Amino acid sequence: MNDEHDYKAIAKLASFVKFQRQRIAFTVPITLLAVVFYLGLPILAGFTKVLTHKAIGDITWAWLYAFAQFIMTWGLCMLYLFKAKSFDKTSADVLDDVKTMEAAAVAA
Amino acid sequence: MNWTATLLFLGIVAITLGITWWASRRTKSASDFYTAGGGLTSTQNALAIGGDYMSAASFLGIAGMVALSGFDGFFYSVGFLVGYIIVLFLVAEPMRNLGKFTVADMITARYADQKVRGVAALNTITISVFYMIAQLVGAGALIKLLMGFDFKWSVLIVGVLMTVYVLFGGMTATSWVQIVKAVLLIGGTVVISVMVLHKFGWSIGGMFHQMSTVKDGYLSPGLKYKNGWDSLSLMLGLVLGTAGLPHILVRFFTVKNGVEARKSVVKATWIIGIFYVMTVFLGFGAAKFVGAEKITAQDKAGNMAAPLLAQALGGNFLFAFICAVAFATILAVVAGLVLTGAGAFAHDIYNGIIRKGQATERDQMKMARFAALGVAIVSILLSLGAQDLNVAFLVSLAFAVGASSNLPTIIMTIFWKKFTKGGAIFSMIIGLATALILVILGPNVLGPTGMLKTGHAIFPLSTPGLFSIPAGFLAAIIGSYLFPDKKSKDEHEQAFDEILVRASTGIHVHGQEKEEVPMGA
Repeated sequence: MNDEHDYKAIAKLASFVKFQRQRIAFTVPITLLAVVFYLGLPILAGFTKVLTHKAIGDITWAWLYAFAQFIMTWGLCMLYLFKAKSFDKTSADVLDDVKTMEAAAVAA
Repeated sequence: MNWTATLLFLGIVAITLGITWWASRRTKSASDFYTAGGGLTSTQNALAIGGDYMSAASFLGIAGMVALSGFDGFFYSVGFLVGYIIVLFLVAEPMRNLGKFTVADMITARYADQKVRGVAALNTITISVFYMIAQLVGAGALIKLLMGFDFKWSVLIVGVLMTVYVLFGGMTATSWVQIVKAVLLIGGTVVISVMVLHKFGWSIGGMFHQMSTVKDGYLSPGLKYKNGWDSLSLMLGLVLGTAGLPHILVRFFTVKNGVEARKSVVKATWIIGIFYVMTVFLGFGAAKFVGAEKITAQDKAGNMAAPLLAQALGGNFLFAFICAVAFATILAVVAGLVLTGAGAFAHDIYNGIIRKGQATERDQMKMARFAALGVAIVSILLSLGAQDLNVAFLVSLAFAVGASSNLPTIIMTIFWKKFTKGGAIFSMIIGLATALILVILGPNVLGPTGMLKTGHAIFPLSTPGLFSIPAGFLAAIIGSYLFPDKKSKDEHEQAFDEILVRASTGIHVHGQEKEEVPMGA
């Protein structure tokens, strides 16, 4: 395929390892938590009666749980956008290191 | 024949054909054809994603489902939206950073192999056809309601139009048709929602109070889904399906890089979320001001609830306008689906496999046009057998297939070091086969009201996700152990390192080759 970069060496760069760890530590747990919170809705709706009770006026807990998922989705989107800015910085550091590394390889 | 509606329909057709004519003059290369040259801004792409995603299922299907089944219909809105968390957090940026024109491009970035490409392309085509059946059923019901044409003719009209967009305008035309449609759809939905709220005295609490008497249990779950496993299966398919839908994933190739892809998803999630909140007003309004009896008299599955609500609220003009919006909705989504399916055929199967990557751009585009026709014809034939089903439900099947056959391979390709070529092929085939077989054995084909009406379903759940999604993921793991890569361990790890670096840093993004030269030097 394309051999312009020594990907194996890049993957070992300290800055890249840190970058990767940061991203995974943020994205994976949050995604899993969001899916668990989401599946709580069909589970509670399908196997219990708790969501059929009225919460505010005639609005049942089912609707509040459902609307909470909208808030969660928008909130997590904004959080990701915010976090991604710092990821972009780390990513730029990695690319700088790659340049330095490749320049050194050419010189040698 | 409703003349106002017919005129508005013709207006929509004229606008979209105008866009297509304009786009056709700018479509010169394969990259223009498949990805609009990667030149969309994140806001344009966000609207196009919205236009691609808020399909007949969302507009016609959910409104009908909420109108008839109350809270259970809203399950769909929640599932369709929350799926974007997975798209944003795990899939969008790697997809853009690794891929070029198709989903198969992204997977073959790790496994440069014809079989992987072929199976991935087959998946894309199958999911797109499934999705299209739903859109065509919606189109058929709509045109029948307005012009009294037979279902077959209605579907044929849509089929011809979408093929024209794709044939001549490629992704540029498709994107702009989707953008125009997204604006129209949001606008139309806001108008109806405001009118509904007005009728309920501008009080959300009052609205829920009035709805609580429409039908016993209307505001609680359980009216439609009596079996907890059925709703769990549906919801699992919805949340994991979005990130496996090829026609959504290819939209990320229309922007220049991962950062823009990320911004498009966030903006799209706002647009789509606001729309799904309004499905509550559409559904409640239809239930209250049209009534379940009248809705089902027009269409058994409730697909005409939103247009009928418009009629009840605003008379013939609003009715005609909303029908025209729904028509634009269907055209835009179907164009996206045909383009995606045809792209997989022309770029992956024809150029990638048959011509070993040597086909000229002219040949590829010619093949894409034949494939567009093929995809359209197959979908039209299948949709004739699915006329009586709710379109939101039909789309949920496409989501389940996407989540079972595509998502496991996409996730494993990016994240799992030990994932092998054999694992990818095995997972895609098992995921697809399990999902399809369970749908066929389930109540929608074999059940008493299913397509074949044999009266007895072997598999009890109406969507396959609960079993087929774990099957897809398990097959990825088992397949990787059963079929280890023939390459040395070192080569295998090197391929994964490349994916890891490229997916997360966006080094070597397709469509950005020029900027990349100084970096490699």
